[in-house]
Amino acid sequence: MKHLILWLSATLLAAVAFGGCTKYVVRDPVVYQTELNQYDAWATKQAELLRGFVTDHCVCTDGKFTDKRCGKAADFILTVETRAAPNKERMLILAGIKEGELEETPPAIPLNSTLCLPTSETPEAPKTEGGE
Amino acid sequence: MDFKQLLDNLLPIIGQAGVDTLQDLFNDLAADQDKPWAQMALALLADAIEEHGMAGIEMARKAIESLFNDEVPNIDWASPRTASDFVWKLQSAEAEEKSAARDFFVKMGDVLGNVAAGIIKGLIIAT
Repeated sequence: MKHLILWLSATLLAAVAFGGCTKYVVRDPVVYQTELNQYDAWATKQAELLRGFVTDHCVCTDGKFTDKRCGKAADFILTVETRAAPNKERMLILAGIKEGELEETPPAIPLNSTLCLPTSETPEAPKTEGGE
Repeated sequence: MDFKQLLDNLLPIIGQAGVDTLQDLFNDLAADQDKPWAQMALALLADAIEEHGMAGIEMARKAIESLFNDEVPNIDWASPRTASDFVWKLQSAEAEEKSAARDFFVKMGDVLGNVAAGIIKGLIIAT
């Protein structure tokens, strides 16, 4: 009997010593969710505002934005619009705050060209002093 | 994306010498290139090089290495699309780990339960 108890103790100790351990953070679920909502709102509102600027001022040639900054802005808008909600849901499920299964495949982010304004609809550039 | 496609895309950015260097580095990894994590690492690498040229290789390496050291990877330089895919994969990996851990603890509980029952039974017989 003593041997069995010793063997069990040794096995458990070895499992703890060599098994390694992962650090986990324990948070207040209400505060955590409020923070998450805040970051989510920052991103989604920003994307919404930016969409207006891109669709009003950016133009494309052959399905590509003529200004590289417009392409980057489109990337941001489309990624946030497509992924913010499912990513937030996954965070809540992983944190144990919400019940559900994780989707295996992320939703596809539309191509930047979906935000393109054809060259023929180029908005008139604001005139600058003295020039062009 | 595979290594060949990545290298083809990078040729105008890093030149033939850079591509040759990467080709050598990738030889050891080629067998795993279809696995989801390899695909993710490739996408990160492609983004890093597109934004920062050859210096991007080191940035991508650090991000990937951080994961194995339980450190938060810096992927601020990645495109939102790649960063989002990366986080998605991390979340899936966490879920899988949790599920595997849960299965492990259930099995361990069963085994320990049987052992405990055996000990009690042995004690009863001994007394």
